[in-house]
Amino acid sequence: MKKNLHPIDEIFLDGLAEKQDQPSLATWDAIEKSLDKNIAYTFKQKYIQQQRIIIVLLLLLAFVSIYTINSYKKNYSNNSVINSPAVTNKTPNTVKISDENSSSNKLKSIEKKASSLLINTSKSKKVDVIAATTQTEKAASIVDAKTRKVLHSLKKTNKPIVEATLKIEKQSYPKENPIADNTIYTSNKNLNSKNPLKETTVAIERKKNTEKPTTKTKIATIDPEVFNEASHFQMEQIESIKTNRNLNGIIPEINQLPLIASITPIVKVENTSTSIVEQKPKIKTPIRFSIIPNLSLNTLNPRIVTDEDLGTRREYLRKQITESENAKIGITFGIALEASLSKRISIESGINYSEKNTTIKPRTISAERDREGKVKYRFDCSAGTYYIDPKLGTTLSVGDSTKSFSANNKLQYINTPLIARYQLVTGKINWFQMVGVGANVLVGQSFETNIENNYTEKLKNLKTSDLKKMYFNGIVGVGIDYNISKRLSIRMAPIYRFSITPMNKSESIKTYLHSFSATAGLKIGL
Amino acid sequence: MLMVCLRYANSREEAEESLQEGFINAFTHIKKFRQEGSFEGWLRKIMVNASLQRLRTKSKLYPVVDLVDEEVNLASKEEILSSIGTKDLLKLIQNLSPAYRIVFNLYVFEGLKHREIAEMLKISEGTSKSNLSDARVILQKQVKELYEIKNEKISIL
Repeated sequence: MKKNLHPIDEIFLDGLAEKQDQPSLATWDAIEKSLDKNIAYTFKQKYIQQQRIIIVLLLLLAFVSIYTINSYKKNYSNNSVINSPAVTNKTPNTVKISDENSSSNKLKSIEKKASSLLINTSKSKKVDVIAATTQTEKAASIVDAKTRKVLHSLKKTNKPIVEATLKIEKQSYPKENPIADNTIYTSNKNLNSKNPLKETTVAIERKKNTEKPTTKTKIATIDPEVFNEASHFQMEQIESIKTNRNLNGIIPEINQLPLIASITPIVKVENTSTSIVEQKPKIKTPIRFSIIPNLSLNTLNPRIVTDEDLGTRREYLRKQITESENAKIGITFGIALEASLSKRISIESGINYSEKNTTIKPRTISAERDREGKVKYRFDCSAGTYYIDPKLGTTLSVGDSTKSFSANNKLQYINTPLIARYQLVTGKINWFQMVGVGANVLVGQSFETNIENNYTEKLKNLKTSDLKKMYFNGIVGVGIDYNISKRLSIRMAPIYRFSITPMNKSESIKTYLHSFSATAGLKIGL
Repeated sequence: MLMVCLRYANSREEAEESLQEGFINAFTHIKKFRQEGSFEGWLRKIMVNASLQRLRTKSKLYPVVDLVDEEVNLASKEEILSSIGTKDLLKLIQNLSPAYRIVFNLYVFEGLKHREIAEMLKISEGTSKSNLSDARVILQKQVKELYEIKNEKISIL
């Protein structure tokens, strides 16, 4: 205030500044009504916002699922189209396979080429290649399955063209004499002159079966000479191939091909114009399932909302609850089922049991009428209002008060999450981020406190009707899967769970549970 | 807070309406309270703004009469306050035109400077000074008259 006021200012200042007056009750009623309207509107807005978030998450999840399923279907149909009988112009004829033309010089040459090719394994570009060849042009090409771009054209030749596919493996082979170190076998065990060779698989595998290639991701055209020369190393399995079968073909620039791990000559055509081989569609394993037993330690952080009406009883209660409650570290355990929709995307659901414990500092509680009109001590906490009826002592009157010593509140929930996971694979560690929603069903509650009633009286298993039977929460987190073996990995993930809907149905105090969990689990591939 | 609103309002009903609006504003915007100053001060400011808003919508904030600054001899503050009660003083303020009333309240009770009042009411600093001066003249006259009436009554009794 100013020091040099006019005398008339001072008269009014002294006469009015410290005076108090009370508004009429109607004014307070009007304020309450206006606030209730505002609160209702605010909560409606919050509820709508939460609904929108859930819808967006579900849509996102649906989109990811549809995309993954479509991708899978697309791959499947690509394989089918490429290898469908409709594309084949002519019925495949037999092929003459013979090792008569083999020579040690050729063999050495091929070995050398194959060796140089195999050494370049790590440099090979990952491309899906299909076999394509035309008799009229008398040339073969390696074509990218996705872009249909010709990656490598084989030399033109007047000789009949034999188609084959290469199954390109990730596995690299040793530098020294890769072919000689491997055995060759055929998948077609029923070859004879009466049963024309329609499809024969010849694969090169290592003698020592320790690093047997497994992942077959690419296909390419291969020169039949490779097959022919490789047949020198045939073992018992290939003996059924008759020696009078002559496999004539061209020698492509083999060292320009991608990595060779196995060779599959499929259809051998003589005197035909165009041939694309009918081949059984290769179906990728669409969905891989894993089960994950897990355990979490949670730090609980209830957020209590009281409509922001500072100065009223609700705000007083909110402050009291916030200041007096300490959340213990809770435990959550359960089992989850994860479905890998693709290499990077998976969804997870399961069932978890969780306990949320809070301790409440001593406070003074007073007697009020409960919802049934009985006078009991009222105890407010984040879970809601408990009405305590002492077993001993005189009948309570409204306004009586007593001291509540330490109190404990335990809530038990069964949680069912639905989580979308996106992961990055880096060696043995898969990094992932996750987002999801969860439904929490109340399965148990227990409140106990000691009150001063001439002596300390312990009251157990008190219940509140303020808790909702179910509330929903959102889940976000990051984590890692450390792969111990192909089917077993250890999962570690910090996860944040936040309530989307309040856990209690109290009009005056709404509690939103937020928790931060450190989760550990064991992922077992099925 | 009601007293704050009463000083700005024409009547108690208006003051209660301002009080109601002020409280609703305070509850709605409680998050904006930064805990830096006193809550009472923050709430008081909201009440003043609510009262001003109400006056703005009802009347224009310029003086309606020209007054001649006459010298008025007043009794001592203690004598006046012993004769004139709170209600009478409040009534005198409420009888002022809104332009005078607002400037007088902001200057005397809220402790604002003319520059701040001018910014707040979007008037010139000169207008603020003039309004305050006029308000003082009016109040002096009215206080003197009221004081004399009260004293006459006392002497008759």
